[in-house]
Amino acid sequence: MHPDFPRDNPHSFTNARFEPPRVLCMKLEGEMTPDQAAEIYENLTLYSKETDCLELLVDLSALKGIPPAAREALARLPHEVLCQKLAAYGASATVRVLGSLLLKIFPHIRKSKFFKTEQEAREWLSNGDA
Amino acid sequence: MATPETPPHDEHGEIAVSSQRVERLLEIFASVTAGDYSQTVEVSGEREDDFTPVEISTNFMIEQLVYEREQNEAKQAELERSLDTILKQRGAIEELSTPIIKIWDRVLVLPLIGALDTRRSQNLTDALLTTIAATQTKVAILDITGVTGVDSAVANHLLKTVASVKLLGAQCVITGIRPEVAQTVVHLGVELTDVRTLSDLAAGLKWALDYLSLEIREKRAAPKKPNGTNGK
Repeated sequence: MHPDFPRDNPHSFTNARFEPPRVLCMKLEGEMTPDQAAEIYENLTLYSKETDCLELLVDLSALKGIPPAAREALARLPHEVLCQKLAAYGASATVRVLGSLLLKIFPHIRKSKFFKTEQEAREWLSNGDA
Repeated sequence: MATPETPPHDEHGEIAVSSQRVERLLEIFASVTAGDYSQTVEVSGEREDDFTPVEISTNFMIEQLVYEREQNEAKQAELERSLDTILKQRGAIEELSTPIIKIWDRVLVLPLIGALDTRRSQNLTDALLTTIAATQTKVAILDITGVTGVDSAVANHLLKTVASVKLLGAQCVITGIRPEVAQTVVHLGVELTDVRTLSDLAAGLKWALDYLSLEIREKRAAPKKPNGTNGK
């Protein structure tokens, strides 16, 4: 486990939690801020060193939006692939559309998909390259 | 973005959209084109189809435009504040850079330092004439020892200053012309024959005292009394 990020970090913005061997779980809440965007990137960078096939499982049920300042912060991050798959669940239509748009300019993630439930998201992650 | 609950594409990958929704988008685009970012698309969470992302994305674009406009306005306000500060500081510097010193009764000295541009020359003349009128000055000494550069416009302005001072019934003397400034003035062909110039401020002050029929004499020691005291 990376020493800079504990397995459970309930005080972080993203409530990041790593499930070995390769799944990083996050829950995003409220309106994303530039600091949260930076923390997401930091999470990906740190945990991508733990495994070559890092996968993200993201709960978006409590995310209200990603304002322009946070979007700009995401767009300014270094462009490098850090994660093979992202499965997001629970997002509203608005968040799904915005997420899809941002993933087009956020090349850190190779594949991504939105689901209604956590179970569907986990099934997709565990289905190899499906 | 199709989900199991939304209508699928047809066999050609096309979707059906009501003209009303397209018209609404066009109205909003027209408003944005005219700089009006107040309108957005109403998106119903109940009726979500393949056209819904287009409508939602339109709202995001308008949101981004509003954000950028606010950023620009904030930067504009900051620039205006900085400009205001610079203008105030410039005023303070100009005030400090055109000091007028009453060195003796009816004698003023203006010690000028640095570059002398048209703006500064004008400020100098305005301040000098006002002070001469207010203090009944008879001699104004412009000491340009510290002036680094003079162009033809400034040289001509100095001539006008001298002439203006004369019209107020005072004399104007220029002192401390540096060799390079002298060469520049001659090279520019500016006529200084009607201008009294002296080598330095001390010479200027001596001339002013002479003009006012004043002289400086060394104090003489009081004669000693026969008992050794000094007459006290």
